[in-house]
Amino acid sequence: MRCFIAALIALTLSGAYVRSQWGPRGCPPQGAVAPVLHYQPVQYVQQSSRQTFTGWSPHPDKAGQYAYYEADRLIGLYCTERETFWRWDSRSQTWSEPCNPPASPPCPHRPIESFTAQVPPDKDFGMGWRAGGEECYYVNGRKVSRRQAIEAIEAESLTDDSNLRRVTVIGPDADRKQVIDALNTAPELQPFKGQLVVQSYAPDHWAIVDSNFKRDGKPTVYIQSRTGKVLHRQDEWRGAAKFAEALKRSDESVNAVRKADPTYDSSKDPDLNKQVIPPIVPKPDGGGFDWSKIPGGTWVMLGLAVALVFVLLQKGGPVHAAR
Amino acid sequence: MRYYAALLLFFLTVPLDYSQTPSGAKVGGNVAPDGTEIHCDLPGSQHLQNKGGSDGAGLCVFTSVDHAARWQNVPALIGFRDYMTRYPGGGWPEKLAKYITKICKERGVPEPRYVQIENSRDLDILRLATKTGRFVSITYERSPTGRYNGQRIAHMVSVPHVDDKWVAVLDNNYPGPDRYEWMTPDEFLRVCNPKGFWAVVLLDNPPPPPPRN
Repeated sequence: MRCFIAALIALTLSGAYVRSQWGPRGCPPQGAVAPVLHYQPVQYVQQSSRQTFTGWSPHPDKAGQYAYYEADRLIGLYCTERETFWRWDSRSQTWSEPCNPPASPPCPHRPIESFTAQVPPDKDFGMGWRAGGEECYYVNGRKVSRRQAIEAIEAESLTDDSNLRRVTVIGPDADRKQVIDALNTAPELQPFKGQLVVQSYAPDHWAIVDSNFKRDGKPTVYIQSRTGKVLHRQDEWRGAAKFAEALKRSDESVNAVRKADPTYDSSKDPDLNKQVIPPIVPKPDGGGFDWSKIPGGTWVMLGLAVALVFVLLQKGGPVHAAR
Repeated sequence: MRYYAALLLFFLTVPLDYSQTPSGAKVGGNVAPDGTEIHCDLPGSQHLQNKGGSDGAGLCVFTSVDHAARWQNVPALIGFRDYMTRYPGGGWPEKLAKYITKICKERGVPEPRYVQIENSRDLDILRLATKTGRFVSITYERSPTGRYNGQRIAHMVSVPHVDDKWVAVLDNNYPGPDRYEWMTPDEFLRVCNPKGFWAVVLLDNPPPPPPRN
C-alpha cells in the first residue's frame, strides 16, 4: 500500500500526464528574457544570447505607444491614440509617412502579453493573428459598430422576407458586359436599382452547369424570384427598354402572390376544431333504393333530358296545328 | 498487492488531460448528421488545398477567402491563394486588407465589400452570414474530430453552415466534399478560439438557386 501511494505521488509530480493550461508543451521555458526597449535606433543593442523577438513591445515611458520588432530589428512605431503606424528607416534614420503596420496593432484596451507569455501553437498553417482585446468590427478596413456590421451583411441579402429578384446573365464576356453596363447606366433600368441581385457567369461556370441553367444564349438572361422560380428568360439582349418591361411585369407577377383577394370572406373560413361531423348511422337492411347515392351530375343530366323531351313535344304540337 | 498493482496500471494508462472534452463531432458530406442540408454547398471541384508562401509559411487565410470568393463569384479574389504564393505567408487582418487592395489594383477591378470581426464569440452574426449564403472564413485552434492528433493549431478555415444545431467546417488542409467537420455550436466555440475568433465575410451574394417553373 505504501509503495502504491509513493508511486502515485511520483507520477503526479513528474507531470507526464498532466497538461498545463498553456498547451501540450507545458509552461513557457525558464530564462526567457523580455526584449530590450529602445526607441532610438542608434542605441539599439541586439542581444544575441537569447531567442530573437518578433512582435509588439510597449514603450516603457510613453503610454499608448508600441514598437514593432522583427527578429530584434526595429520596424516601426504605433500610436494607439492616433491609430497610426510609422516605419523606421535605419539607413536614413528617419520615420516614414503613416502607413499600414506589419501586424495586427494593439487596441487601446487590448492587453499586450509579454513575450514570455506568448506560447506558440504546435502547428501554424499561416495564422499571424492572436486573440486578445476588445471586440472589433470593420467594413473594408473602416471600423464600425456591431450593428453596422450586421446591417452591411443584411443589405442586399436575400433574406426570407425580402422581395428582391435575381437577374442572372450567362454568356461570353462581351455579351454579358452589354447587359451589365445597361443595368448600371441605362435610364430605363435605374428605377429597378435596389430591387435586383445581379450576377454574371461564363457558360461553363460550375454554378450554371451544375444547376441546368440554359447557357447557349447571347447572352441568356434570367429573372428569378428568391426561391428560384423563373419569372422571365430571354436568350439575346433586346435592349434596356424591353428588359425594363420584363422587369415590371415580373414584379407584378411576384407581387401578385401577395396581393389581397378582394372576394375573400373570413366568415367562410373553416374551423376544423368546431365543425361537428354527424356520426354515420348505418341504414337498416332490407330498405329501398338509396337515392342519395346518385351523383349530382346524374341528376343534372336527367333534368336536361326531361327538358329536351319537353321541348321536342312542344315542337311537335304546333306542326300538327299547322296541318 | 496484485490489486494495488492493477490499480497503478490503471492510472498509468488513463491520461489525466481534461483540456479536451469528449467530442460528438463527425466528418461527413454536405448534409449534417440529422439530415440538415448545408447552407453553402461549394462543390468539390472548387475546394482548395492550403499552400505555402515564398517563405514557406502557410496561406490558410488566403485559401479560406479564396473559397468564399469562388462560392460568391468574386472574380477579384478567385485565385487569391495562388497569387499569395509569391509573397511571404502568414495572415492577419491588416495584411489581408492590404493584399485585397493590391490584388484588386493589379487586376483593375474594384475592391469587393467585406466585413472583418475580431475577438468575438458572437455566433449570431455568423448564423446571419451563412443563412444569407455567405461563406465565412474563421480562425481555428483545434479539430474536434481528432485531426492534427488533438494538437493546438494556428489556422483559418471556412465555415459554410451555422445554425442553432450545427456548424460545418471546411478545413483547407483536408479539402473534399465528404470531409466537412460537423459539430455543435458550443463545440465550435471551444475550438475556433476560446478567447474570441477573427472572421472574414465577403458581402457578395451567393449563386442563384437552380431554375424552376
